[in-house]
Parts: sequence; structure tokens; C-alpha cells
Amino acid sequence: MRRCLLALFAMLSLFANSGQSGTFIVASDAAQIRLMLELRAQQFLNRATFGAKDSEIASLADSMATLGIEAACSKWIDDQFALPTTFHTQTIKDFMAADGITLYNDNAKNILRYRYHAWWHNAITAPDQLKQRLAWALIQICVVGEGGDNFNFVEIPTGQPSKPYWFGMSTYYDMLLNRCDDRYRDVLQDVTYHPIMGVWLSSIRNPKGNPAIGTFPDENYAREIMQLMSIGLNELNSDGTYKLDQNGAVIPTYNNDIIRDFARAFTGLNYASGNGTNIYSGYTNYLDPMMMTNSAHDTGSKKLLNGQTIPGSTNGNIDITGALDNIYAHPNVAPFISRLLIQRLVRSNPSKAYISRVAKIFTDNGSGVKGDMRAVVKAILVDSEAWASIRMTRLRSPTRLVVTAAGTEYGRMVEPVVQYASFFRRYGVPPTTTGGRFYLNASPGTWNQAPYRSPSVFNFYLPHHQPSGGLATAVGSRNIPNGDLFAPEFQLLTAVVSNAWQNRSRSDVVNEYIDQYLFTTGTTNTNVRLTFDFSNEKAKAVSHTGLVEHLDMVLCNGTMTDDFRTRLSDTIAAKVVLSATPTANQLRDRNRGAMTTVMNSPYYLIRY
Amino acid sequence: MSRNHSSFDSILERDSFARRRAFMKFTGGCAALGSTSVLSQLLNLQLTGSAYAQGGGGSDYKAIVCVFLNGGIDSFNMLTPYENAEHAIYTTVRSTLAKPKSELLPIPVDIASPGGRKLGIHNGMPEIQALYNSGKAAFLANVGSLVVPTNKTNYNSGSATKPLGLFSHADLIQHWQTSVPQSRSQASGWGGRMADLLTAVHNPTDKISINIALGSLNVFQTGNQVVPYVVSSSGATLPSGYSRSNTTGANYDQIHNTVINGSTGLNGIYPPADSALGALYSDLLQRTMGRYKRRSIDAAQGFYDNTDNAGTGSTGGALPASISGPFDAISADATIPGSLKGFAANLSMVARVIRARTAFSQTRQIFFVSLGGWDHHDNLLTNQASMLPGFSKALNAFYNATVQLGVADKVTTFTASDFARTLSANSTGSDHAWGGNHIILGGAIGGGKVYGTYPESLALNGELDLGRGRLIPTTSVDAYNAELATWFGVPNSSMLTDILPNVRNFYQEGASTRPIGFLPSV
Repeated sequence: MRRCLLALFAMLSLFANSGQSGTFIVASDAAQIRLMLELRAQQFLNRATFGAKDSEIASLADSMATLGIEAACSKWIDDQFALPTTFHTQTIKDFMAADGITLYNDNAKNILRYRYHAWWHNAITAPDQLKQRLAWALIQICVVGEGGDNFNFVEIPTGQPSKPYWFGMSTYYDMLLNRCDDRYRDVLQDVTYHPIMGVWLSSIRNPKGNPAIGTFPDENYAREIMQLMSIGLNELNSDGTYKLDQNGAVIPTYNNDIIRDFARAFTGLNYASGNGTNIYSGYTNYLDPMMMTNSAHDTGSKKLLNGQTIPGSTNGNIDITGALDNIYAHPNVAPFISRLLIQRLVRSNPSKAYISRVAKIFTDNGSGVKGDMRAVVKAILVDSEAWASIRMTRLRSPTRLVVTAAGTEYGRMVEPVVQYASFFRRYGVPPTTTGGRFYLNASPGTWNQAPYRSPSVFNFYLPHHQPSGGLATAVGSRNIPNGDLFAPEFQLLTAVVSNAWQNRSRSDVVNEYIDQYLFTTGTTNTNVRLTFDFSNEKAKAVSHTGLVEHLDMVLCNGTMTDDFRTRLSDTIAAKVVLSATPTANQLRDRNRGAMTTVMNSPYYLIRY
Repeated sequence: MSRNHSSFDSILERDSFARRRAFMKFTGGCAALGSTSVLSQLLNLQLTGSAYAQGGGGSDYKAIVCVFLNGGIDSFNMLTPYENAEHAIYTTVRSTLAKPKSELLPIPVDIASPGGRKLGIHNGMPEIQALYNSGKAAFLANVGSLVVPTNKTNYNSGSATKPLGLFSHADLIQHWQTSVPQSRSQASGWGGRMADLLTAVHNPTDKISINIALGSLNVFQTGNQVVPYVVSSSGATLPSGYSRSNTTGANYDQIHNTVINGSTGLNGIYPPADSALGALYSDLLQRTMGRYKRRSIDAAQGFYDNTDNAGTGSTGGALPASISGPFDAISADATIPGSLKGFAANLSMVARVIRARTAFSQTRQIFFVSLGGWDHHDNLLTNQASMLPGFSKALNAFYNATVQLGVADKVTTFTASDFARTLSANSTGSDHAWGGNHIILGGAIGGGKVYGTYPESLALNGELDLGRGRLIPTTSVDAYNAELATWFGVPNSSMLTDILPNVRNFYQEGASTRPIGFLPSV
């Protein structure tokens, strides 16, 4: 039966796609190649940054013309990693200083908002886009959310003016930015010691157990670091398929005994402000790495993964190092983390071969280093299958480029937050009233997704979420590990979010601005107006087909079908008939109709 | 979530492979529970949905309304001791927070024995007292989240598994809503899991979810498949500029509407089946996106048509004055704070949705209405005096609405909250505690009675006190939930265990009486 279904699916997915292409007629062979390179550059930049911009597309396409596509992208990645990191805590301080606020507990100006201002401003403008995008991917693997105790507390510990509670979330993000080009082992190290994680998963002030009164170490972090941040629940082959036992059943990676011993290894951590002898000493410090209180650490031996036992140390930091090394040595780490990163950056359903190639680099970057993030990221972004999501065919008579999205297994739903950042990167005008700073709030739209607002350690969505409908019951091709097809981001798309998101884009396109609330003085609200520039689109609207072709290129990377383009452009022509000399309002209305339609179509919301 | 429509999908859905796939889907989230027994129970849920359907399910209408009091209401001042000896201890323990008997409305713990033990209701709640005395309201005393029956001995020895993060807001809210207090990683709530089970039978057209939230998403109503449909007191989130007609409204909206709705009139090339949201995309991501968007638009439009003033037919249009009058009075009452007016407006919307139940083809509905502002670390007495009258009036207006709609005995409203608060005061307020007292409302209940165990002595260091008057609950949230779930139609079988994984620590499988007894046995 399964073989039949596979065959049926293969037929539908392969043959039904014929006639699903979009055609771009061009003037010359040179223009044909240039368009192809620009679309490839845009495809790459939409993954490696918070959204491609024309200037960056042009420059990368130039480089591709000289070096070749993959070499140019490889160089672009090297150049990005060489840039200084734009840290969010510093951005917050700079913005507050620019606004004349010097005290980090002075809340008259609603200063918690600077956390989000910094996030959005850096997503929209920071030169080190790749690092910013990677940190956003990593915080969806090593998840924390601002719902933790007092994470949003706009206050400072007594006598500590530079260590406000509310900086904690941003220092966590900065930690990920700092480590996103190191080894993944370094990520795990710093995540484990970050006080925000300590509070979030209750590994801080978690003393050794006392059997006499029946207390045990908290197992929260021990469980989640394995389940979510490193190895997952089941033993994997390097291509992401499950290892099976002799009965054909999946093999759990760990049991409760192992969790309990990891929990013992993680005991004794306290705030950096502690005195080193009493685990409850010290003020709440959400900024600096946690410190060990050895007297509260469980010094016994621990049975960990792979049958390995660590002897236990009177120095708790040695035990934690041993525990993290033990996890990191597990062969699951490479395929597990590789797959999650591919899901965040490229596509929801990477093939076995794709996972396998990336996992190989993860295991050894060629110089014997495991988990080299620079090498892993490069392997993900320049892999042949990354490009294969969109097929481009050069044809003649007339000279044209035919662009086709490769189908279900090659795409992903755009994350709302990334979509909005990309919209700002293309259309947002630096606001003069705030010195060019993009003062967006946490959630300009109702998306169930916002920076720092993951509702739980399970992120905004699960990596194995299957929306109802065809995807949940379809069987993947034999390229797909374990046959299951996933679409994590659809977990956000409730009936409310779907409409609210649509309303956000319609409002932005029609109004050409969005207002953001900043603070209240007395009874007066201060807002900032952020405007959008659609002049380019309105100029193109003199031709209904030209406008749609342009939007296909810049918003959908060319993946609209000819049918859809024709229907949309015919509708535009019928609904807004131009005068002999088109009026500004006619061009504006054509663009309003075209953009709201495109931005709410599957061609824009599913990315390849 | 609606079922699939294309023949391609149904071929696969009929195949047993699809069930294996659904099984796989659960493995990640459930293993997080860290208990294999809980895990296997939740995995069964997929299968019991069809078992429930085979059992017939029942075609009668029922609704439950969860009123969640965010912040942790100090419910030992909402329902207080009244007998002289008990009240004297209460007065000593609560000190600055004690209410004198002159500020309490006495009720017998059972209206069938009017001469028996009395408790006091906060004097801001005369409507609740009247409902209680007429048998339409009841209280459940000292209820809270437990994993196993817990007392001071097994609490202190550690032999009783404790709810995680006791006395913290986030954890205890989560526990009430998931009914799995030993886990922080549980992503679904018991109302959601119940809706997973009931949807196929009781929401056949699935126009909107049977889980309807006023204001925001919540864990309680989030199932493994079902997610709450969120509306505000003024209704659903409609897509701006949308119309089923492609020829009305702004020309740019007409462009959008034409492309998403389809049009046979435009050059004849654009049938609805080929519209942007209606097309059967071969790419399943695109197809799913089109369907989700279409369904979201239709749900909002359907909600609007059936519940709002602009609607037509028996369920549309304004609520009749007999229903809206008491709500309007709250809205006009200058002494009632804005948050309570908002709460009343939310309950008014619940009444509208109940009124539209037939239009939605729903025979079960689960509502979630939250009301914040109860975290009274200070100024407890004045704050409660300000909030409880509006709360009482709003609940009364809602009960009246169910009477007017002819469904008073089909709608059961119950309150929940993070926790009750410490009995001992911190100057003018109280801090986070555990077990507390709750209100149950409706025509189906055995009202006029205080269920559970209201302690005869609130003295500090008593047998339930963990310090400062943090009381170990004597009735579990699981028993409370099981009472509601079994009344709602969930059989007391493995199906109930699927929804409430810890329930067998409090309620025998197959028992013919309900765990607490405020709802009638079948």
C-alpha cells in the first residue's frame, strides 16, 4: 500500500507541476543571465539575511558574475563573519543615550521598548546580517522567552546601576550573536551558564539533592538540553533517519536515569553575584554567566550518555564540562542540529542527502573540528539542494528565463517576524524623527511570533508540526528522512493570525506608514510614524503586467505562475483603468491592489 | 481544523498509514512530560476520538465557560468563615485583611439545611448570594492543582510528587490549564484535549473551533489539533476590506477580493476553483496556505454574520433587551471599574456565540474568559471591594442570559485562578499561596451548597498550612475538571484519562458517581 501511495504522490508532485512556471521575457542573453544571477542572489540573501535589498542583490550578482554563484556566496559568508558584531545591549545603550535617558531603571519613557527597538533596528539595518539571522535561528533552538520571572523587570538590583534585570534577555541574545560563528559546543557552554537560561529552566540555585528529606535536583534543564538543544529523543543516522532496533522500533537516546544524573551534574549554579559558598547568596544578576557554588554541587559519579560515567568532581564546573562534552560527543548532534538549522534558514523538509552532507561538515570541518558554525552555515547555504528549491531554465525565441518553485519538499512558510523585517528592509524609510532608528515594538502585528516572546522552551512552533490538510497525511518522497513532511511555521497561523497578518500588510500598503506607540507622559501618548516608500512600484504600475512581473521578482523570487500573473494583471487592468495620462491615484490604487494581493498569496508566504 | 476535501487527501486519510503518522506527530511533545505512563495515555487520544464517535456522543447542547481570574484571587475573603468561633480564628489570622461579620452575607453550607453551618460571602456579591440561595450557584472549597493526594506529611517527606514551581504565577496558571502539574513542557490544555475528542461529533462543519476564547490564546483550550478561536468582545478579527462581492468597496480591495474569491465574470478566465485561495495547488505548502487563509476569512465572516448586529436571521442582530439590559447596566455603572465592564462585555459576547450555536452547527462549546487584576499584594480590601461587585453583577447577567436563551441547564460556568493567597497579611495585602475557593454557576448544578472541604479552622500551622496560611488543597483541580468533563460527555474510561492524565489518583475509572457531585449523575 505504501508503495502505491508513494507512486501516487510522486506523480502528483512531479507532473502536476508542469505549467506551474513563471516566464520572464528578456531583451538579450546578457539580460537573461543577469536576471538569473539576481534571482539567485536574492534567493540566497533571503536566507542569509533578514531580507534581500536591491543594492545587496546587485553587488552579490556582480560577484557571482565574476566568481561563479557558489564561490561568490562562499566569499560573502566569509566577509559577513569578518564584520564586527552588532550587539543588542550596546544598541539599547546607544539608543537610550541618543534619547537622553541615562538611568536603566528610569521608566518614564517606557524603556523596556528599547529591547525590541534594538532587535528590529538591527534586523533591518545591521551590517552583520548573517550573524543577526543566525542568532535568530539559534534562539529558536536554545529557546528562552521573556515570560521568565522578572525578565521584564525595569529595575536594577540595589547598587547595581549597570545591571538592570531587563537587560538579561538582550545579553542572552548577544551571547548567541557572539557564539554563532564559533563551535556549537561553545553555544552549549554559554547557554548552560547564562542566568536567563538558569532561571528559564530552573537550573539556577538548584542544589544537590538531600535524600534524607527526599529532595532531588531539578531535572528541567537536563532534559531540555538533550531533547531540544542537542540530540533529540531518538537515535539518528547521520542522514536524519531513525536508527531502529531489531523489532523495527525507534531507539530512545536517554532514559530517566540518565536525565537524573545530568541533573546532578548541573547542580550548584548561582548568580555571578554569589559569594561562592551559599547558593542563595547574591543579588539577581541576569547579565553575567552563572558561577558555581561547589558546596551545593553533587560530587558523586554520574552515568551519562553512550554508557559513559564521569567520576564526579568537587569542582562543579568540571562536572558540567564533562556533561556537556558527553552530550556533544553523541553522534546525534550533527544531524539533529543540522536539520534544525536548515529548517530555520532554507526549507522545512531537508532531504537525507542534504542533512547528510551538512552533518558531515558538522562532524568535521575538514580540520578535525566538530560543530564549526562557520563551516556548517556555509554548508547549509551553498548546498546544491539549497539552490534546487527554485529551478531556472534559460530558453530562446523569445529569449526568456523560466522560473519554477520545486514543490512541497523545497519550501517553507515565511516566519512572520522575518517577513516583516524583510518588508522594512525593502520599503522602510529611516524615520527622521528618531534619528533614523527603527523604533518598532515587540509585535507590530498579531502573529503569535515576536522577538523574545517564545511562549515556552518549545519555541513558537515545533520542528515536527504538521498542519491539517494534505501535508499531515502525505508521504514524502524517498529523499525525505522517515517519510514525514513538516511545516513548523503553520503552527502560528490560527484563524486570527491569518486575518490579522493580512490586515497588517493591507494597512501598511494602503497607508504607506505604521505608527508605533512609544510612551505616555501624563495623558499624552508619544508615537513614532514609520513610513514606506512604494514609489518604484507605483512607477511600474503604468503597465499592469509590468507591475505584477516586478512584484513577482522582488517579493516572490519569480515563483508566481504565468496563470496567476495573468489573472492578477487582468484584474488590475479591469479594476483600475488608466487615463491617457495616468493619475497618481490610479497608479497608487493599482499598487495597493497588487501588493495586498501578492503579499497575501501563497507565492509570497511560501518561500523557496 | 477542518478535514481535507480533495479526493487525494481522502485516499490517504482512509489508509491506516495516516494513523501511524498521527501517532508519530505526538512523540516529540509528549516525551517532554517525562513520564512514560502519561506519554502512552496521551498517545491514545487519536484513537479514542473515533471511539467517542462510535459511542454516539449525544446530540444535546452543552457548554462550559471557564472564568479565569488572573493574578490569584484572595478567595478566602470571597468565601469566609461565618460561625462565631471560626470567624474569630479567621479574624486573628487575617489581621488587617479580616472582614467583620457585618460585611459578610451569610449562606448555609447546604441550603437544604438552613440551620446548619454557615459561611460568609463578600458583601460586594449579593447577586451570587441570591443565585446560591436559589440553587443556581455553588462553591468549591480549597481546590488546587495536585499530582497525587497531598498532606503535610507526604509533602514534607517528599513522597508526594509536587506540582512544579509552587506559588509562582506562571506555573500555577499553567497547571490549572494543563492539568499536568508535574510538567512544565506540556503544550496542550485539558479543554483542548477534550475538544480534540469531541470535535468530530459536536462540530461537524467546523466553521469555527468549539473552543472560543475571549481576548487571547490560552493553553487551556489548546489541543493537539484544536486551537481556540479568539474573538474580542466586539467579535472576530475580520479581514479589512474583504467582501464576498468583487464589485463593492475600494477598487484596490476589489482587486484583492477578485483574486482570492475568483470571478467568472472577469474575462471568463477566473473560476473560484482557480482563485488564489481556492486553487488546488500541487505544492502542498501553497495548498495548505490557501486553505488556511480561506478558512480564516470564512470563519471570521461566518462569526460576524451569525453574532453581530449586522447579521440576519434568528441568531443575528442585536441581543434582545432581556439579555442585553443587565450587561448594559454594568456598562453604564460608574462605580464599576473598566476591567469589570470589559469582563461583562466578554460574557455578553459569549451569550451571542451561544445564541449562534445552531448556525455554527455546534452542540458543544468551550469558552474561556479571563479577568486580571487579582494579584493583591497590597490594598486587598479596597481592591476587592471595588472589583467584586462588578464581578458578581456580570456573572449574574450572564446567568440571566442563559435563562433567556433557554439553555440555563446546559451551560455551566466555573471560576479558576492561579492560586489563593496567604491567609496572613503583609501589611495591606497577601502573597501567593495554593488552595482556594471557586464559584460554579448554572442551571444543571446542584447549587446552594459548598462542595469540597472548607477548613473549620484557618489557624496558622494547622494541618493544611505550609506556613503563613498557604493551604494544601483538599480537592484537586483534576477532580474539578473531571466533574465538568464527564458532565460534558467524556466517558469515565481511558478517554477521561487521556484528557486528565493524573485523574486516576483522584477518581476511579468506571465510577458511576461524579468525583465531587456538583453536577448530576446521568
